[in-house]
Amino acid sequence: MSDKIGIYVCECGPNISGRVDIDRIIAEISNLEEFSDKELIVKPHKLLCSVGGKAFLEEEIKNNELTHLVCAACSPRDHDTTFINVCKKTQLNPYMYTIVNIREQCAWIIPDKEKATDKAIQYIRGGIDRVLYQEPLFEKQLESNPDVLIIGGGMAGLTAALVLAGKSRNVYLIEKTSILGGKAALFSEFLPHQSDIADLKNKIKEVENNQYIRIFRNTELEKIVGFLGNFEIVLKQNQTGDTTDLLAGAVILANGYELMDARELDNFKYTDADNVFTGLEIEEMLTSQGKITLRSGEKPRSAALIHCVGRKEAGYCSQVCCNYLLKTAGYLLKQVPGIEIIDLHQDLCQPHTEDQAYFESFKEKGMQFCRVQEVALDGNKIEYVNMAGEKKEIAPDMVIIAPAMKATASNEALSALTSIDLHETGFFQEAHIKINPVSTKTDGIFIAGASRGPCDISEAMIQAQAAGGKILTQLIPGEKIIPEVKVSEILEAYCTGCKTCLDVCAYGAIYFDNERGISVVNEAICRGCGNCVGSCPSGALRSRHFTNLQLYQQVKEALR
Amino acid sequence: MEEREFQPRIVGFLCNWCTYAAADMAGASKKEISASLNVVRVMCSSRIDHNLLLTTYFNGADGILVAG
Amino acid sequence: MNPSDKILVIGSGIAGMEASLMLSKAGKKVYLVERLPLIGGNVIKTGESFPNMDCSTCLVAPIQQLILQDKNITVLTVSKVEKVIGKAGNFGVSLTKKARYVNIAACLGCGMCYPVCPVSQPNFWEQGLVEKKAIYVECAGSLPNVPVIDPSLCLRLNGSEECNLCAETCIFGAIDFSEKDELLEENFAAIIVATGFSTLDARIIKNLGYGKFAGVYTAYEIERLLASNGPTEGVIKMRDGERIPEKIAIIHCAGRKEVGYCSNVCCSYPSRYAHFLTEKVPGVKIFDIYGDLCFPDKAYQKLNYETRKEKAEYLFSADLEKLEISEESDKLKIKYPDAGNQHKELLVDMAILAVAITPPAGLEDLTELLEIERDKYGFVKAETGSVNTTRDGIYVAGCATGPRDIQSSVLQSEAAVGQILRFLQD
Repeated sequence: MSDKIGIYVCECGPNISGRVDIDRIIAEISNLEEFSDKELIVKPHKLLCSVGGKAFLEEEIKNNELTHLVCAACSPRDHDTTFINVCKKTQLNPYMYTIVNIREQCAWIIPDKEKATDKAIQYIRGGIDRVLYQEPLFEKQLESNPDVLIIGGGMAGLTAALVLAGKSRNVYLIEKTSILGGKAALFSEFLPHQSDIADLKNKIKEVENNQYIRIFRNTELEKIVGFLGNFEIVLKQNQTGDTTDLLAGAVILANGYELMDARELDNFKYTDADNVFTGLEIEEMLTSQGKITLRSGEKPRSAALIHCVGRKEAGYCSQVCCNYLLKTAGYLLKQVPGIEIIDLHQDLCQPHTEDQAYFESFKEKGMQFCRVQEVALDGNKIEYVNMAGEKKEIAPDMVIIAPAMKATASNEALSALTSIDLHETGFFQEAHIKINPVSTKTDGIFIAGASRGPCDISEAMIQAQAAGGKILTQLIPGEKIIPEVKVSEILEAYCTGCKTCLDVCAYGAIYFDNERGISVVNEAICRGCGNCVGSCPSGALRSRHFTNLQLYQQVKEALR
Repeated sequence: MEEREFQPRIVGFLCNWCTYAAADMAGASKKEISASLNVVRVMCSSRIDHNLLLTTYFNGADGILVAG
Repeated sequence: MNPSDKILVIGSGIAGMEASLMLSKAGKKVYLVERLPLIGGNVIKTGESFPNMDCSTCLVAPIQQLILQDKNITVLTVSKVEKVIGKAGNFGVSLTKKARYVNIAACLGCGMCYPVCPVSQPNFWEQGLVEKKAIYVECAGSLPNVPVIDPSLCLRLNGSEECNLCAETCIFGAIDFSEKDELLEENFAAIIVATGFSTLDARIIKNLGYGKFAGVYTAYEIERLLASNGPTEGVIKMRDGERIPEKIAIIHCAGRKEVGYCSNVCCSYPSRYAHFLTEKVPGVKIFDIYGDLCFPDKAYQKLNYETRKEKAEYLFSADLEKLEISEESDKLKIKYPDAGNQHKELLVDMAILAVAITPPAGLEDLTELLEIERDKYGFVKAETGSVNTTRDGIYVAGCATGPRDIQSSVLQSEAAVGQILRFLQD
């Protein structure tokens, strides 16, 4: 079949026609010598994106049996989809069409009408050349598995499990230890504006009783390969070494946090014999023995709270410590009336509306608050410098510190298994810090709770529901997944197996086939950015719909 | 020989998501931009390699803008 | 259609848009109701946003485009919820779709109509820094890119003159003075409230002199001055349009005492200002006067450390509530107690108030007609660790439930979608 190219120039009312010479465009494009062996149909239209314009295009494509289509109109960001949808109603493959932007980046920016017309003609020639090198592309459909693997049985993991589990979706919840509830299970009370401790116990019960949730205790992830809708998973029981194979469509990493060991810091010296406790140790003590005591078993008569321990070294504020140290002060004030408490902080971080009133209630209870520039600890002796620059020394009976929350070693292990990135702080890296906060660079792998950054119990629960929401919208039981078509492909004969592309792919879409010694693109993961194409030293990679040849045509015409 | 005003030929490879959108917005605000710039849209500026750059220069470009 | 397939989202900011797109992806029909003529919310007012300083418009514009092109999403701009009856699973909702007087289907957004309009009014979307006409778009790049006519000011619509200038200019015949407000009745399975925030009227904070001294700005005015699509196209000049500030003070926690809470984001976003201002105004000196610093994310403090290291001098005040601004010839004099509670003075050209975030205008009425509770600060009350309001089937996301950053707003909207889909599955 010979090439039959339809070129339609949109006047966009006066928006294009008022600033370029449409008649000259039609005349010059119709008589281009280099396309004299092709059949060109060149027509103007008042407004291609209008209902009438779309019907006109559809008729033109069908009646003229077009093999290629060029729409010279506005930005592809405005109406590319509009014209693709027109193509889909006809015999023309939508990848045999191209849009040429003669409005935003031509008519509107060049005041001289003659120059603007020249430019429009130049761009349209580029479009014709480009479209001749385009190839039809076809969508694929992949089966998908709706089940979900959740790693971590803390507040985030439990919450996500309950959002997701149901008739048409199983949840596999794996927990490294033998108990569910995570760090929150050690707590004696939650903050007043957080969920109640009874909620956690109910949640654990609900999860245990849910027929669609299968719990694996003392279990860790051993291996995972695949993509959204199709992950092959191997789990390993810690104690027996037994493995289990599973299939799931999505994974949530909710493996929690740990506290920095303050003794790693130069200015914090103490031993297990000293009456120095972390906020978490106070919670544990209260939960296990019902009261807070010194190591000798006696009641403390004075206490100091030290905030921001390791904040500078960690490089971030852990955001929850200001509140939970106040909570421990609350336990002490209730248990030992008249106890003297001094609170040493650098900044007070009270990011929720309720926080300030909570803080003020402690001011009223006679606690002393002191802002410090520096603080050092040796046993229970504290040396600090206040904001006026004065050096002070105190030695309270008990010292309660708030070391920075940090990522656990399992973040690194999971990052290696799943190939999702770690943030420079060691927490998981979101797909986008603002607009895609529970997704990762790999479709189908989500993050929730403190393994993605310091957060309190309420926030961990919200994140878990968000990850649940993302999965419920992306993995619909019975629905097939349609991956992006404009992706990279490897020309096997050219691939030398240097693996450069594996390093540059931000999405982990390329893997190495050891047997054949070549890289392979997983089209279900590739987003078509072309980073690998730009970096391949042997030219073995090709960007579908943005091939070198297609771009050369545009460049060639641009420089004619 | 007749002297003509030098009109540089510049090819701009613009990323679909940021700079191409910015160029659209400049157009929507009717900002004047030199006709010397010839825009080629790519899905990501990381797509551009030495091959494309050299081909562009060999074809006679006076300058190349890669923006993303 | 079965109401279980339809969801109402109130507010088209980042939270409302994210929720709508997700619901559409899950095959639900969404009505996205917005009181303003444009979608996008507050994020599009900032040029570049913290902590990674990416361009907000580039971030949001693709999302806006997806919303406008999505067949499952009905976008109702200049619209309002009037009445809600029924219960979770089947709410009966009355909506007013106010007349735009410009036919969205016919208008191309070429912008020929507003220059000819004879009536001007302050543009509050631009924080009142510039004027707009009676037929207007709020800013360059507004989406949908279609103007709207303000019927209270339009000479023709308020009956004072037979003006027809905009209609004569529009060759697409998109201007339609006969358009009427429409009342729509629809049924929805669930409702998401994502109405965003307002900021405290800075004139209320007596000691800071906003509204009295021309050199005092709110942070939201500065956002628009810094934005390349703002009224000055990103050029920093004082209100007289000429003077360029040499010394600038950023006052943290402005109005915190008045509202009684920390606004969560106002330590992080001013960290950006020193970067932008030192770039745009060579040689400018920046001072940040602060009491507490709050950086509630793993990535936020680093930005602040970089700012403090090179670009701004951070001055701690033992009592920010005692800070006072007065005018001295063409300068501002800032008096404040320093770290040792000693009286200090600073002369600057410009003061920027990081002003408190408050519940959005109209939230009181909306919560009353939805029959959901507010907290003592006036924000929508949410269950702990959840996005459920006090009424089943109604969820809240974003700043409507308290000050928060973009990330946290998006998290809540995704959580609300999770709850809704969970609820509709059972």
